Amino acid sequence: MSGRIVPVMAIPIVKGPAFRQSGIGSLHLLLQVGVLAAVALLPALAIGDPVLERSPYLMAGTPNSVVVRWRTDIASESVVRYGATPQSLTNTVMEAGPTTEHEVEIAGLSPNATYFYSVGTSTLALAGGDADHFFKTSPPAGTRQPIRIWVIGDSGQCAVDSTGCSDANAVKNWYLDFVGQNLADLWLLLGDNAYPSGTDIQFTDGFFNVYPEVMRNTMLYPTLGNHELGSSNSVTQTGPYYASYTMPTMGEAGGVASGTEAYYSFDYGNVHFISIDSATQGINLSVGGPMYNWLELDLMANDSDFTIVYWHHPPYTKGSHDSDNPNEESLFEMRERFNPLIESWGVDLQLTGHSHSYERSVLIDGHYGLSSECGAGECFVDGGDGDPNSDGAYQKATLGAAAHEGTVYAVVGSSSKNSGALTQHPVMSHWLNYEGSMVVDVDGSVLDAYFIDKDGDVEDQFRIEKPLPEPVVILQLVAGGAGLAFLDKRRMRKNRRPSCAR
Amino acid sequence: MSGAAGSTAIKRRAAAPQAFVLIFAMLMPVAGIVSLAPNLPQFLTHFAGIPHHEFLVPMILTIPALCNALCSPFAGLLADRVGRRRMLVTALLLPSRSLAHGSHAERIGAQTRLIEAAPADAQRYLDRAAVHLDRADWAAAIADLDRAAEFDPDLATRHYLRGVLLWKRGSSDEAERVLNRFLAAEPESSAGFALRARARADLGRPLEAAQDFSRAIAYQPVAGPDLYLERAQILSEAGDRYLERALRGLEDGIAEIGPLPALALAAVEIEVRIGRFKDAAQRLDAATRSFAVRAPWLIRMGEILEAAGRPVAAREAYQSGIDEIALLPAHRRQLPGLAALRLRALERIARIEGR
Repeated sequence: MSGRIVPVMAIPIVKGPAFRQSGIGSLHLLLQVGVLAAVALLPALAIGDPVLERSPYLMAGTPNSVVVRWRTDIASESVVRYGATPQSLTNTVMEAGPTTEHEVEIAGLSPNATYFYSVGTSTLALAGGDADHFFKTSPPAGTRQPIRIWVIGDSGQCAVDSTGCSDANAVKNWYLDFVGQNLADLWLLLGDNAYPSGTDIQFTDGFFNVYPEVMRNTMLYPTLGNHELGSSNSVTQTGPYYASYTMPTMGEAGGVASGTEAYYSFDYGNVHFISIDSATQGINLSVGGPMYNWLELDLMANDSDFTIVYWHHPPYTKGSHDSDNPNEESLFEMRERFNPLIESWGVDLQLTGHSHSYERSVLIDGHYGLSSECGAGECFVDGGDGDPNSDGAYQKATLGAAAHEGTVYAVVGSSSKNSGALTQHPVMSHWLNYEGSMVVDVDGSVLDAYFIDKDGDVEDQFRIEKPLPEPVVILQLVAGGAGLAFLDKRRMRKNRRPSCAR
Repeated sequence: MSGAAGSTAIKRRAAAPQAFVLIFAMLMPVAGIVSLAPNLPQFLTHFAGIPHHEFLVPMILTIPALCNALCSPFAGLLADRVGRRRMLVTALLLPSRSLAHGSHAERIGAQTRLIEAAPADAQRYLDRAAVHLDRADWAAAIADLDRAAEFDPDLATRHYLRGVLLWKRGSSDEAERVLNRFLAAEPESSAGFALRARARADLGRPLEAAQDFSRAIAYQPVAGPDLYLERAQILSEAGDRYLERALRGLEDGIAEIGPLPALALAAVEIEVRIGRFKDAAQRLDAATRSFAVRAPWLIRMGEILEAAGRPVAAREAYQSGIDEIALLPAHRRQLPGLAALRLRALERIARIEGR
């Protein structure tokens, strides 16, 4: 080796030992020295303005408050500015302590109101301040108005491969296309949102980087899946799942305080929502155990028009998991222990994931055994498809939580992939091995649900219809006098969204 | 430098494209290291609890650079021996294998491929054991745990997983033994103590179980109500002499988490068993004041007053509960839980009245 630096253009393509004799060795040595010098200096140069690592997302909404969260690469103060228009973010909430996990509660808000916001530091807005960043506070409990819910399950494949990523994005894009301007108010995550083991980086790649344009506007309510358990623990409420989310645990959004983020409940308008931890590791699933007793208290106190319960493990499935397989303990335990409870307290819709498919039951009640026990429809309350355009909506006799009037069970576990050999479970009206998500619209006494696949097709639609509310007499104060108004059937339905936006 | 490299040099001369590829390829490892730099502050925050983290964390930049410098000659030797293309293609393909998620069989298959790639890595057997455990495939899970032990007898997590398996299978005594080993290695594991507590409770050793629950609570950064409730239940089942201890534990939970109805109602039941009916009534009233439907608690209040030897007040409470249920809409009155309560209250009133 001569030691002199040879112009790059003059380097011959060489083979074998000749490589060592060329001037490239000197060049390589020079570069290595450069690398080492640069590496030594880089830590000192790394400090600068914070950069968003997780876009802002919204949690634990109540009629008067919301929690805004985001993550930055370096620790900084947490500032949220908000106001009635993007141009007038006149209110500020600030947490001075430097952190990378920003979690700011905005209190003192008006119910059912839209606010625009930005997040950042006192000198820098990292996101927001435009028409795309807004949140809507919950309506007061019991309010009857149109509510839209987006439901995804097992959506975390983006953390694993590009195909899963592409499918998750397609599912999201067709949801956005379906809802148009009428974005969902709430977003239920049915677990397994970060494959394969729910680590922090898998949450970032599998969830937070996939849905930034949804999570900046739509309130997020997760439940724990078995893959999150790979890195999180419900006993200690630690790990990426618990660190990433803020749930309403003290009854601040309605429902009975659970005191734990593993299971919780909340009200949104005239719907009561309950998230249960079916993932078993650490949580006692026994009848009479803490979670079971809390659920009974919560259901006893519930007087909403509709009740939706969601957890991860499906009680009825023949997809990538089989609810007849005795080794699938969680599926058995939830079906045998929790289904009798939720049906006796009048739950209308139960949502799960776990199986990577879409499976949706007819209106059923009292089916707690193997699939053969309802093989001839013994458990059917209404064996039709529930589609108002086909067999007709499922009719329930009571507006409110009434025992054993029937529950629809849906597995929505294909929001980023499908797998397994799907066959029909006898209770299912629809079963499909294809990626998609569910949109649920509740308006007064009607609940409509749609499964939208990754090609934008509505593959399933069903409706649960309850009697209209008793006419309410309202003293209507008008200029120059007073009058009585009746809220009747027509007025209750006037604001219904079209049944299908596409 | 034409031909100076000797007889092994080929005649084609490098030009701009070759130079670009060469420089680009040489810059890739540099870029790989440099791209870590902006994340340093976050790494420092994340590992703040580790001793000497200020020194160790920046090593993620230094060590790859050193490896780069030190390994380059050997990479060159290897390239000379096996050929540059073969070495580069192999190096590119190695990290591209990802862990796909799918059905149980797919998950097992993916884990198995990882094991085949590194058959002496004990952690990979543990990962596959966890998948088997998820499907209650005990025999396969045990086989993988045994394999993990062969390759790394000191891996404490395998004891925890075996404990979960044994406890779920109903072998609480064996579960306790392996959890003892796990906790000897991980003496501040809240999950480990909680699991051993449940195993000891199954073995009929409530005091030791309660002690484990206390440790599980103590080692939690944020305690949930479940462990407080389970501890209180075990102590109250152990006998009347432990009721005060059970109550104190629940009060600790209330102080830590807040006045959760679940904790307060458990405390009410213990006060009743101790015989402090007035305290029980006060706790019940405070715990259920915010409930919109008060009937269940009015009826429970009646039972407490009856047990306290106050039949007139008890009858009044029962009747209040019945009246409140009567005011509910029909579908609420017919809920099995509320209908059963109403029936119970009617029976109690009949008993008080001697009917």
